Amino acid sequence: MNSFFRFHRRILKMQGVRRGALDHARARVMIISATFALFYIFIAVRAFDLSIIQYRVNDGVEPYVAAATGGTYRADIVDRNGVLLARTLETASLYADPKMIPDPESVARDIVGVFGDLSFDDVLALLRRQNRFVWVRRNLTPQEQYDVLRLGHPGLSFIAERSRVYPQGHLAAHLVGYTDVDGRGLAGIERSFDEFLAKGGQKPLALSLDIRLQHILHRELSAAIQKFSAQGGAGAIIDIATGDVLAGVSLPDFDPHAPGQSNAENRFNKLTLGVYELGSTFKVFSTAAALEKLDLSMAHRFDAREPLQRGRFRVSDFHPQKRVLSLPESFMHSSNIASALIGEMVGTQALKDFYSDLGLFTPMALEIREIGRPLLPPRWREINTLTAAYGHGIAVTPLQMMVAAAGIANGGIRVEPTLLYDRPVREGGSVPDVRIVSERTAHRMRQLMRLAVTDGTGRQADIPGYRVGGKTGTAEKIGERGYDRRRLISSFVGFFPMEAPRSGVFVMVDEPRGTRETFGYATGGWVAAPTAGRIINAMAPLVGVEPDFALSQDGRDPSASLKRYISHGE
Amino acid sequence: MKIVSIRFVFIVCAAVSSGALLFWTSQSVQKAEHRLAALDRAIQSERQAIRVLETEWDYLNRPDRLEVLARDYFDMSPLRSEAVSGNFSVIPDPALPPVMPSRKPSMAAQPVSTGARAVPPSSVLPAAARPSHPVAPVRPDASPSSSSDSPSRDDFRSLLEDLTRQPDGDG
Repeated sequence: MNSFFRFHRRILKMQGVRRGALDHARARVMIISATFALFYIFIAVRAFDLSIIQYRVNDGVEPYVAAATGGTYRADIVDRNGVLLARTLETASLYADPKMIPDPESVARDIVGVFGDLSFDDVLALLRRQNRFVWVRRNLTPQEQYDVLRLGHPGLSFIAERSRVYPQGHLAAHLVGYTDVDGRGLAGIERSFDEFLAKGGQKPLALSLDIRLQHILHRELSAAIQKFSAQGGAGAIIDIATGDVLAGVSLPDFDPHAPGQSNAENRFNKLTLGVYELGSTFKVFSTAAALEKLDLSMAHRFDAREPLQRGRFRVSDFHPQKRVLSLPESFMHSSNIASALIGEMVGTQALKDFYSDLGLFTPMALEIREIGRPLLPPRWREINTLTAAYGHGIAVTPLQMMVAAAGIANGGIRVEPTLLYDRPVREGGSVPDVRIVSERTAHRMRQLMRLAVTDGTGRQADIPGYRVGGKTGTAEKIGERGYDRRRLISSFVGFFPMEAPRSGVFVMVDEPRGTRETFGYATGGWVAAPTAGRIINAMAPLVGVEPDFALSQDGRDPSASLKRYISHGE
Repeated sequence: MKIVSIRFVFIVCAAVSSGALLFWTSQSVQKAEHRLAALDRAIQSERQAIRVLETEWDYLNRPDRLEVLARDYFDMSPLRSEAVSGNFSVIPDPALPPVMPSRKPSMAAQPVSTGARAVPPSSVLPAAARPSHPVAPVRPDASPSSSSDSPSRDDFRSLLEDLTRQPDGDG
């Protein structure tokens, strides 16, 4: 510009006729060259900036995976000890650009070398396609990603994706649930707490489950199912004082990473959604009803010599003693006849009221949506009272039955089950305790349950030092023509230590087949009780129960005072 | 007429220096922004790595895997009730150092799970996990020349031996 002004002044100073068209032309040339000079200077500066300055500032390497999509992650789910059950991770997904792969054969061979489960022909077909984007593999592990990067093929790239990872796999799959590819909860806690989890945040959702107990339950239940060639099973461990569900298993189960690959049978939650006639375990309830409503004496005697005939129904015993039984004897031998008589004595309305108080008539309240509705007789006749007293004609979910029995074993306070570690306090402060049976009845029932394990059908659940108490159950499944004697549901509900129980264990095995070892028996006492015993043996050190052999000796055992009602021989 | 006035020189100098200052400032802002972005990226990737590693830790600590490892390498089995004789309270508590750093102590205090009792009896623990008091057995194969070493180093050696012991050695 300066030169232009100087020039301009000079031509202003010029005098004479020569000043004219020529000067005008010269001025235009100067203006144009100045403009171009400025333009080139600008380009030079910019080039210097981009090539030298920016290069030195940007010494970082561009990330090889596209940056995070931003936002918060779906919240974690952890167990009561903080062990991860579900977490959303950023994973790399591998795609290929076939246009940039000159040699598909060698690339395909390398890819198959990293992912052993891919077939060479499939990968080769993918890489030979004509489009510019093909997915090779979604959601790689860091090791796989490292291996692919090490191959160094330019046509392979990654995209960051989010996927829900369940480190414990199938272990608690039914309760934790799973999500779809977009991260929406489809089952279990993932579904019922979908909004809360989707909001994200730092705080994980802590469940009441303890993954160690979950593993013990899963291990022993799987072993029982395998041993007895059963179709499936369910089990639960709960803290009967707080209602915390410490473990809950439904078998067969599935991999929550790929729920679609398992069939609906595996995804079905037998523990809280399936309803079953659970059989003799219900005698805990009918006996408690008799003790509570009729104040029945332990010396009360039931005639179990002949099957009971009521109209066209006939009630017979599975373990027939063919004699007159006292109340403790009828409980420990699991006499259907005595239970039917108890039901008759208690009366239809009183028994229905009692079962309803136990929460057996309505769907259980739990923090997942897979809750089964109990199946009751459409019209409750007198005979239904008799059958309901020994657990037939009424179908409930296994966890529901367990929770109702826990309410009796813990001293008579109704148990509100929960899957959350920090149960939110309901409106109106703390939940008031609801008494379902008196302390006295609860104490009697503990003694009876202990007796059923020391001397009765549940003998195989007895673990020295832990004073296990419980009740076995063997129910026949309904076949095409009435009850099928060969298709059973064997169950055991147990608590320990029986003088002050804190933990409850429930085991149910669906259609077990007797083995040579069990002399062909597939009843609750032969299938479920030993399984529950093994579970208790393994879990007792974890829940802090020490074996106490002094307390188990004669005279101090909870069942000791009932022994005099038992007549041997005859 | 004076071609270059003082005022003109001053204005030119001011323009050039303010231009340079502006350029320098903008460059340092850009540099700082790049650094910030790089640090953010690094933090983000560290966080990612931590999340992945935490998940991997819990994956590798699956109870079924630990059970197999404990059975195969430590010759441990679940505690049977008969194996416990007498009363826990009469045994002096040696305050066992944790075999493995416990995680998330804030959540460790549970109403039902008492961590201390879950520790197996000290006889099955490797020597290094035991406190070095006179009750601890002295390994006969420990060479006396290493007596100058601190006892903790001996413990560490015997732990290494325990850990690297081949299964065929004891059938």
